[in-house]
Formats: sequence, structure tokens, C-alpha cells
Amino acid sequence: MTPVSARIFVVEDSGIVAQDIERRLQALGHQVCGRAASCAEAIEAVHATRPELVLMDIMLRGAGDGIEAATVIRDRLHIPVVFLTASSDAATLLRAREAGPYGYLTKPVDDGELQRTVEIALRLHALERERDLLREALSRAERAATLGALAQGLAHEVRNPAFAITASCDALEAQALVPPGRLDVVRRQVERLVRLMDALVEFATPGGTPTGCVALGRLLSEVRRLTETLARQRGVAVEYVAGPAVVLLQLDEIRGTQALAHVVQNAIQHSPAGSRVVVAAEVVGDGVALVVDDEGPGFADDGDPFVPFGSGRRGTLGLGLPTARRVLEDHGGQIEVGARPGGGARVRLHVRRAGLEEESG
Amino acid sequence: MTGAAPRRMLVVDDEEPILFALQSYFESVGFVVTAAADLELARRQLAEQPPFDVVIADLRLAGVHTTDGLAVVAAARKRSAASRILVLTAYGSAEMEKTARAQGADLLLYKPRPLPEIARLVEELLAR
Repeated sequence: MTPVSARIFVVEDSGIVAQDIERRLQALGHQVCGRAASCAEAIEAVHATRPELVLMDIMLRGAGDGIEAATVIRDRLHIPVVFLTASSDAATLLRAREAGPYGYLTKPVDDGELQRTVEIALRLHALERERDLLREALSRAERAATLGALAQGLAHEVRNPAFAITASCDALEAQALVPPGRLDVVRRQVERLVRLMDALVEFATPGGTPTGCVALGRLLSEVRRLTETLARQRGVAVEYVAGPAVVLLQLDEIRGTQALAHVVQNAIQHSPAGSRVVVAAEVVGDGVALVVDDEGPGFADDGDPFVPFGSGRRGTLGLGLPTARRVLEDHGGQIEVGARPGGGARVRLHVRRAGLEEESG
Repeated sequence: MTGAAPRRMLVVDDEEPILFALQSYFESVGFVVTAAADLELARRQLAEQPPFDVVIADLRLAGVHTTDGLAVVAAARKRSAASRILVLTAYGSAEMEKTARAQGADLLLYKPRPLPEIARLVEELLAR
């Protein structure tokens, strides 16, 4: 075991014993960050100094004993405590156990035992913290999975009535019960609802551990394919200034393509007809920077474009950039928005490269 | 329909508005349509009537988690190798598509889908 050095607080009502223990702790490489002799004093000083470990005598001066102090320190401050005991009766030891100590040291304290007990207490506490962090991460993942399942269930429930509506429109027209085209407005609104549900599912579904990779050239050509219809409809020219196509990106092909397509679609949607959107890629350090520039009105100062439905812009679902950010971050990348020099919006994505060793120029 | 027998279709969906829309649409484009709202009714129609030219079945009948539609597909395929069988689903997967095909489906379509498009796909299947 590698030696650990920790900040330790000593609670002991005998000054001689306290000094002796402090000296030995320092000899073992630890730092003694304070000393107290009573229960109340101990709680206050430990609260103020936030040590990594408390050595606590059970019998203390004044009201309250070390067990009381240890219970408060555990419950409120989550700092591990090791008890220092002389020979104690069974009832006291039983109470001491209730305080959840990380170890016991019997006075007079033996050097080797002090070292081992302190080290085990510190490691045990570190492990418990790690366990708590994992638990938290697990519960976050579970919440995300629940949200994804909820979105999928909802999307399914919406698709059936959506189909009932559009199929009824089709039947009414086929039977010549309404003039052709009269129901197009209904169809468009239903289509919008369905697109919204799909976007919600995409946003809310956890991606799992990303493993795949995609070549930059492939990514860009897929994004071009996905966005060219919209670009044509809007009369916007999308120009791809590709870097080296052979660079491999640490990005799942399907999710990565969707993420970049969201950004490009967003740029097209906010571009005036006849203007240009430029998608440029260049190798930067251990990754690739993808910059999407448009000549539209740019991002508003108020409102966060990465908050779902937070863009406040008409004509978009408000989930494109939040989804893109989620995908990028799942893959260890980044995305940021800003202004394009000369007017318009600029979105910059940073994606990690995969298989750097395969590249040499 | 000059002389040729009218083409016969079975539509199976537990949602009445969808069933009604499918029936009225395909009747208006020249099919003779039998509608069934659940698996049992569909099985009875398959048993009692001559084989259908086309069967369109919802994958999930009565409840989100059932795949009773697959039982309709299997029964229809058992009844006739010549029937064209389409499956409709609100949310499917590549796996589901494979399963549906294994049961004898010719095509799996995602809802919502314009009926004229479905009709075109039906015609393509019939022309094969």
C-alpha cells in the first residue's frame, strides 16, 4: 500500500495523550489540523476545519461524550471517525458501534496499529464515497432511461391517432367528400406533431456507451444527403469545405450524422433565401473542429439555444441543438455557439479523433 | 373492373377510426374490403371466406405490448401463399421487421403513412 497523507483532527481530553498521538501521526506523514477536548468543541472545530479523519476519545470533558460527537460528525459532516478507547464496558462499546466508526484504537496506542487503522479508515471512506458516486450515476442513468421510455411510449401513443387523422383525411378525399387539398392543413399539422415526437424520442433516449467511429468524409456526405432537400426548398447554398476525408472521428455514425445534420438544418432554417451556409472542417490538436456558419440573424442574446424548446425561434422544433450537444458530449466532444465574423451565426463542434496512430499526414 | 373479379382485402385494426378510414379508402379505390377489429374476427374471416388478395394488419392489436398482428399474418399466410400481406406499426424495429417477414408478411409500414402511398405499394405487390 502506498503511504497516504491526510489531514486528521484529534479529540482527546488528556493533553499528554493528545500530544503523543499528534506527534506519532506527524511521524507517519499525516497533518494534524486541530485538537479538541470536549464534545461541543469537537463538533464546532471539526465543522470549521473539515479534516479527512477524526480520532475520537470516547470519554471527554464536560457534557456529552465522544460517541455523541461522532454521531453528529457522521450525520452532518460525513467525516469518518476512529474511536480511541481505554478499556470500556460492554454497554459503551455497543453505543459506540451505533455511531458507525471506521475503526477502534485501544489506548495505549501502538504505532503499527495506529498506522494500519488510520489507513484502513481513510481507504474505507474513499471507497464508500466512490460507491455513493456510482449510485448517484446509476440513478441518473435510470432516470434518463425512464425519460427515454416515457418519450417512446408517448410517441407510440401519438402515432396511432395521428394515423387515424391522416387516414381519415385520405378516405374523405378519396370518397370525394371534401375538395382536394382542403385537408392539407390538417395533414401538415399532424406531420408536425409526429416530427416533434420523433425529436423528443431522439433527445430523451440515452445513447449508451459510444463505441463506433466514422470517417470525416463519410460524415459530411451523409449530412449533405440528409439536408439537401431542405436547402433546396429554402434556396440556400450549402458549401462543404472539407478537411482531410480520411480522418477518423470518435463518433457513432448514425448519431453523429444526426447531430451535425441538426446543426446544418438549423443554419439553413435561419438563412435568408439566396445566402450561403458554410460547413468547414479542420484538424485541431487531438480532434477535428467542424464550423457551421450561416448568414442569418444569428443567435439572440437572451435565451439558451441548448435548452430544449428554448430557442424561441419560429419554424423549428427547438430540440436540434440540445440533441446535437447531447450526442457530442456523449462522445467526449463539445459544441458552442457564437457569432460569425461579418454577421450571422457560427456553431463550432469539436469532435475527438479516433485511431490517431493510423494517421501520418 | 371490366369483367375481372373485384379484388378482395382484409383490414385488421383494433382502432375503429383507423379501421373505418382504411375500409372506406380502399373501397373507394375499387377493393371489396372486409374489416376485422380483433384477432378472433380476423381468424374467422380468414377461415370462412375465400383467400384474400390483400391483408393489411396492425401489428399491435388491443394493447401496446401485444403483437397479435403477427398471429393474423401467420393465419393469413397459412390460408394462402398468394395473399399480399402488409403490416402496419406505430413503432417498429429492424428486428420486428424480420419477425414479421418470418411469419409471412410482405411489407412492414410505419404509421402514419398516407393511404395513397400504401395503395401504391399494394398495387406494386399485386403486380409482382
